[in-house]
Amino acid sequence: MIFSIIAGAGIFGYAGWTLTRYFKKTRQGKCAACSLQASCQTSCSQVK
Amino acid sequence: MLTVALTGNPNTGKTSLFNMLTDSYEYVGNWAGVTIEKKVGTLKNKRGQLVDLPGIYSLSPLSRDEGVTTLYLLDESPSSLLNVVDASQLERNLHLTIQLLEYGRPVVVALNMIDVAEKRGLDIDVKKLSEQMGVPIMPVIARSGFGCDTLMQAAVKSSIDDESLVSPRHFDYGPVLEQAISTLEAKLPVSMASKRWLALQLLEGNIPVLQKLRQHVDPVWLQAFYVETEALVQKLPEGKKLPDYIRDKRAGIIDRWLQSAVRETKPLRTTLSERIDAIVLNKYLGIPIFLAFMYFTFKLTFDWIGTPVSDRLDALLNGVIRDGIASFLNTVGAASFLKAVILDGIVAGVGGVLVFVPQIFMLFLIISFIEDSGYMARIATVMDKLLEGVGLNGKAFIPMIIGFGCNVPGIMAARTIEQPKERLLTILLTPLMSCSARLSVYSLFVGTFFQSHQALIVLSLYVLGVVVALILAKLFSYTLAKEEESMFIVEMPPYRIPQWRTLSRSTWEKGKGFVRKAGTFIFGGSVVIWLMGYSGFHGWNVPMNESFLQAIGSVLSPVMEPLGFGNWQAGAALITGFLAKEVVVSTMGIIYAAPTEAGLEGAIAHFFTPLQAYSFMVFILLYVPCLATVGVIRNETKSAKWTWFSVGYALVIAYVISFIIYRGGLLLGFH
Repeated sequence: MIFSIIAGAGIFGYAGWTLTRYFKKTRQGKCAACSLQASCQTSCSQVK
Repeated sequence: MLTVALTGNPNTGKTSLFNMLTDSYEYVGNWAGVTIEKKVGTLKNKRGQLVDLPGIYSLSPLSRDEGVTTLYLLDESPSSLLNVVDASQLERNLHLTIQLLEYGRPVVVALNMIDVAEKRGLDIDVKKLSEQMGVPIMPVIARSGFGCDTLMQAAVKSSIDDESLVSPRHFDYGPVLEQAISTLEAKLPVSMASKRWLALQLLEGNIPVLQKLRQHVDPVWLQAFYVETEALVQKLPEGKKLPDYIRDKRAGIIDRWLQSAVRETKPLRTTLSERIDAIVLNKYLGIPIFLAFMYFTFKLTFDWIGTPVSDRLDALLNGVIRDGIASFLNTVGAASFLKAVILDGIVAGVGGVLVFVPQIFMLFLIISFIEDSGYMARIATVMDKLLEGVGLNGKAFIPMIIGFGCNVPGIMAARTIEQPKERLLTILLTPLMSCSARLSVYSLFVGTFFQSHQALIVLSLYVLGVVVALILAKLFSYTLAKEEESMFIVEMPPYRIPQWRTLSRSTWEKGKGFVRKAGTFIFGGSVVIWLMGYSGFHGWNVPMNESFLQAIGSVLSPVMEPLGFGNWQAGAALITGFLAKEVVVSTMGIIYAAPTEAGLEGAIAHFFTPLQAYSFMVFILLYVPCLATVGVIRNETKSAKWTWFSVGYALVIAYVISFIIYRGGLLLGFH
């Protein structure tokens, strides 16, 4: 029972965190939510 | 701390050199426009920092990314400039070198690809050229690392003690221009650095420089000064426009340098690259060869390598791993709710997407190969004619090709396009390129319905995306303002066999995001979707077709009926798929509660016919850009109107085309 509660809380907590982070990043726009972010040739900072 | 700025023409190997001289790894591509922002790394000898700037032909910027270098030189003061020069294209490359010498910081020239130049029969007397130009020149081969250590030492040394090189170089531009330069110099504040350089850049029509000078000199006077100087120059016997006049003068200087230091040892014969180009750039063969290449790509991705590996991974994931998790959960006595969320939510949702990793890596490997081999620039050239006809230029194809990996960086890459109208058009159309996330949806459906023609069906979807983009480009260019002239400059690099190390690195860099996304966002999405399928108006653990997911999906199903997929499951997958296209697969995995993909494929086979499946794939290809793409469109266009437009038009187009395909298919007797 204790395992179920801890694991359940862990799964839902993590799921909630990933989704919040994704939406936040998407709102930032640019490459923040991009799956190619690390190797992206265009990078994330804006050209002035 | 020393700061060395790396500058040079596009595709001269700056980024390769950057990777050799610093400890960091940056993306390298064998085509122009790879570096769009400046990147900073620490020199291997820890003596200073190296700044990698975007490749430019001149300091007068044509596009947004080219402006990065000029702004950098205006706002910062690097300790020295490391100018990368392509040894086989000296004449063109040295135009930038002259401008850098005039800027007034120590310059070290890295004579890159000296091996290529030798093969082409160019004998460069480096010592003599160095004397002529008055700068240290280091021959290097950035790809292999030859000469890089000496170059690094030279760059650091010049930054520290070569005071003689700090003063700006003075090249003679003839009495008229020299007079104008002195007049402007006198107007500038005494403390201002590089006055002569600023004056010359202004006369060349450099906009960022003009903006800077306006802060110090009366803009009206500046305007009058420019017009007056231009009139004087045009009265000269050459009768040229000001920028052209300056360019000609510089060409004269370069000619003198090269005459004594470079000689051709063997008559120029056609190189292998030129012979290959004669075929792949052929007016009639170019596009068929490209299509054949794409077909071969999908054959590798689906039939030959990707899918067989994917099937093994699937068997492993849904066999040993799933059973292992299930028995572990039983052993620890996990609650049935927890078992359901892990097995029917996470394993079905995340696992459903992860099994397609082999196809995605295969595709990225081939894209990396195209980039590094030099074929990418040819594709852009081949497409130029086609794109020109619809109001775009060949450069627009580069964002689109990047869009095949992920639309977000594709849209970002549209910054390389100089014309605002073409840039907007490219941003709006890039989402029609079939990204790798959509590949997971195709993989699922072609594996179920089109086993013997997987590559062909997927190719048809990719081509459909491109064709729709071209037709829309034509359509939009009628309505959008179109007074601007377009321009197409793309460097044609020599072909080369990509190094395995670069390929594997570049593939991993592209593909790891997909894996990471499966572990983060797809995980979270799967849990939420599972929860929506587990709960309903009557409480928890309801049958799937009484769940909230069914309620949401049912809203869309009557609208989708004419397209052939009017079931609530498809509706729910489409709605959640807006978040990210992979989620379509996760949602289906969860809805059909399929423990294995064979089971998922079996379940899908009950709900779709092949024609409906094709119509569904077409709809997935076109319907809306995903959430992240919408975010980046908003950011790049800075316009809510265009963002909504990009979503709206895509929905309409998807609906119309899916309708035509499904209804037309039925009429033709398909089912």
